Amino acid sequence: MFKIKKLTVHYGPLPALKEISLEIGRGETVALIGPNRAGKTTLLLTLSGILQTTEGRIYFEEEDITNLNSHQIVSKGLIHIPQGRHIFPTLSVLDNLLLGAYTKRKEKEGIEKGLEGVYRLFPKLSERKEQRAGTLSGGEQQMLAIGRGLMGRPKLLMLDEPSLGLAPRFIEEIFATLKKMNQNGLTLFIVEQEIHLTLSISHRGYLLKNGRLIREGPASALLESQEIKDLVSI
Amino acid sequence: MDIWATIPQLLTSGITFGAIYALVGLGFVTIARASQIINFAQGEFVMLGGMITFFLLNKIHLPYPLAALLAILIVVLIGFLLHLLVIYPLRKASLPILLMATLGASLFLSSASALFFGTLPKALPPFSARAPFEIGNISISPQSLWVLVAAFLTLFSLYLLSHRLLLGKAMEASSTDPLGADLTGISRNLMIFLAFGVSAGIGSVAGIFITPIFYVSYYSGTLIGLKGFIAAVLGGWGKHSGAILGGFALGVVESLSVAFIPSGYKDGVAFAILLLILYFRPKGILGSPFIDSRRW
Repeated sequence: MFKIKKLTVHYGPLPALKEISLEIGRGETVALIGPNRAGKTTLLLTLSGILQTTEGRIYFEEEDITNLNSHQIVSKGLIHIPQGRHIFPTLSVLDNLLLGAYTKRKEKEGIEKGLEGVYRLFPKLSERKEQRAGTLSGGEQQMLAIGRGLMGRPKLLMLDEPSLGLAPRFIEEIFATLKKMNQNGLTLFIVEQEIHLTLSISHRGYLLKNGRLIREGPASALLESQEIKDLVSI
Repeated sequence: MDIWATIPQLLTSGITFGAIYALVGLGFVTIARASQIINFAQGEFVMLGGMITFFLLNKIHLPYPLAALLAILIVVLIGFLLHLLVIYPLRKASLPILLMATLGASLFLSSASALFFGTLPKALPPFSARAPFEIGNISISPQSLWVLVAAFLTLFSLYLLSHRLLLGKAMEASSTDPLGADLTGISRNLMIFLAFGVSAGIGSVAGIFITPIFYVSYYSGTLIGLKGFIAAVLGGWGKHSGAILGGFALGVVESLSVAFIPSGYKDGVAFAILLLILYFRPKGILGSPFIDSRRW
């Protein structure tokens, strides 16, 4: 469903990613694990069209999407929930969700259904829909960021550190929800520092270090690997 | 003469000035809500609105309403061009560079206007040719009322755009969180492009409504632009209601100052207010959604 071939990205003059190749199948949850500054966020920003590629191709549903604009990529159903949430603080929760469906704003019925779905996953958002998003707690803002992503009707949802800065009980709640979303058929690509929790809900994983993929495999095998053990012990 | 006797008349003219500043301030707010850019060419839209209407009315001999409408469309087009030729090519540049670029555009537009329309000041005829209303010993020109009507109609339409339409919310989103806007598929360049058009339209409306009261000349955009900027900062940067309140407050204070200090210092009063507000309450009277008070 999603395929990256020999992707190289430069951040200024230095290469941030070197010849990355990976694949995500429909219905999978795939984890991308790696130490800080390994290039995980750079990879996601490139996949969603914010950064330009130097070399390599990106294919989504057999279509070449390399270097398309971010709004073209979003409208194809490849949706990225960024690190630090990036919700719109001055707008209400409901407006944030409606803007999540911006590329599909003409489809009123889909938007209604989307809202219902998001409120079912995160009942808190429904209680607070008139509230300004900037006044929500960190955990609620993360729920809103995921909800806003879902409103764009993703075929593949990419999450960048959804656990960052959250209290442990919120982290577990978020991951339980991610698992439920995947069971409902959504394909997920999760970038995380919470290695155990992430691999426990993933089918497969990749390990990124210094801009290169150094290992890949089923989540259970990765958990046992020496590289992951080294990473956790740091 | 007792200075208190002049106060009601000064108050009346202050309200007219206030409505003008409010209109110009609304132009600033429109662009700020979409992009964080402060467009120092805003005053030139006002000047061009008056200037082009004058040209169409007196040189091309179009009927007044048609000339005004056409002038608004031309200025909107100039706003779009300003974005396409100056702002868009600099979209990756930092904010100070963008500010410089708008200052440059301002100089360019005012010089171009001098070349094209000449350097003599020009005035438009009033919209309704009737004598000023007399209430007690205050006289109110009908044009002042027109200015008030224009300010409130503009505010109302901007309110609808920003708080009722998804487009306005998408514009606000592009300003408050650019990355978030990109990742929800909002085309930020398009939002800023539209904001420049809307803002130019508002500026030209202001220009057309005030040129019957004041003369317009190629250099008059700078001062009125700065006053509008002060109005927007005073009321609360990025808020429509803030620009309106700030505009009226500025107009009234400035006008009343004439009763107490020499009128030559009138423009100085506006800048003194700007300094005071930036020192003591940078988010403005009503508070600003775009200025985080914790930063000060």
